[in-house]
Amino acid sequence: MTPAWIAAAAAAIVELDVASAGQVMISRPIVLGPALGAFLGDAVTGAVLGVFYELFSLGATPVGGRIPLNVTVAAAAALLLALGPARLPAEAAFPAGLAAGFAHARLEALMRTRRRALSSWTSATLAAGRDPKLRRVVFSELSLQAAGTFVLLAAVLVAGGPLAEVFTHAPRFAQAGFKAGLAFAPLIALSSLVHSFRVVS
Amino acid sequence: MQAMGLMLALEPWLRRCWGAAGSREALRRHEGCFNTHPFMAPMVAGMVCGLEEEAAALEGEARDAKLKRSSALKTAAAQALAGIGDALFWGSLRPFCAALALLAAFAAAPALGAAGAVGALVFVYLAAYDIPALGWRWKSLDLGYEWKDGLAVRLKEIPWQSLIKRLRYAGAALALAAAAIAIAAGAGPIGRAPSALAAALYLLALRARAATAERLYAATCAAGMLAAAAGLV
Repeated sequence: MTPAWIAAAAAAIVELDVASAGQVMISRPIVLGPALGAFLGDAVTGAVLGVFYELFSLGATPVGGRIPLNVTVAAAAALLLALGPARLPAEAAFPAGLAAGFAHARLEALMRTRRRALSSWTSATLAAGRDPKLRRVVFSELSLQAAGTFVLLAAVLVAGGPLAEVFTHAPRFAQAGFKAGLAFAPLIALSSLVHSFRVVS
Repeated sequence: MQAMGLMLALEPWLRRCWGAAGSREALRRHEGCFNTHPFMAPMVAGMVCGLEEEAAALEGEARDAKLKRSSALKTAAAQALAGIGDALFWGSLRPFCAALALLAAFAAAPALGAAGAVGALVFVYLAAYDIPALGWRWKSLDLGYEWKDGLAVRLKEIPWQSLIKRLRYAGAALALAAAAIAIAAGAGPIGRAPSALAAALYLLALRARAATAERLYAATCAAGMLAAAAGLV
């Protein structure tokens, strides 16, 4: 297994820390970015992209059943594209990461629908006087979630090559637009950080 | 799936209180909808443990009344603590730690270089967040068990709003400092003063709820494409 695939597998497991297990913040992009970046050979790029995703996400809190874009998956996807085999330029990897993060939010919505059915099954099992074997159920759900995330990141890795080709041959104005987006991303990120405090409503 | 997580956490304690057969009946009391902030869930779990233990020591109608009250208290506590947890942990502590970590990275960079700055970023973020958060998660389990049905009264004694406000003001100061240092160091592509102005405009757009950070980024990309297509850049 190449480093990129190992990184994808590790990110899929670490993604469980977002909401399902642990929640000790190792899944936050500000932590995962530098860690993945260091593993893939460029901790500074990992830290920069990780900080961008972290600060972008501060305004989006998972309250009221809302599923915001998954910035852990976004950061992992962007770094796999930028530092993995595809070597996609950072200005293209960043929006691709955002797209992966949005895709994972849809996957999360599907998983939650499945888990509602699982809750009903657990209730019925308990009502029938049988042991619902909660540990096994929870472990299998976590494994399924990690597997789903890995499949998504694997798709990102596979798509990296074609994406790099598309970006290389994209019109100059399109490339310039993405370069501008990444150039201004620090300012957007810093504004998002200041805005997240909102001490004066 | 929070209910399932709560059931998994409570299962050993319920087995201790009610025995193997009784614990399945006890688990059924907790199979309904349960939703709270994850860092506040230990407090609810501790309270439930205490009340289940008390109920197991009672008989007949007294036991039934205790269990009914326990269920209502669990739901009420979960809802109240959810709001506090969201404001305190997601809304205040997390951005505070991000701002602190950024400043630590800026401070470490001249002496320790890029690698040191990255290390400081990660270490400070994790330490600043996890020490209070994990400490609270551990301690609140104990407090929930100790306070039991006195939880609502004891919660009112904790100055949550004051703590949240102080954290937000401190965080805002750190965030402004981090932004100023970053822009002075050349974070923006267009010179310091124009970058500061651009950051202020982005902030206004966010405050006006006109956009999210992702939408501002998309708009900036679109503006860049238009400028390039028009030959301006």
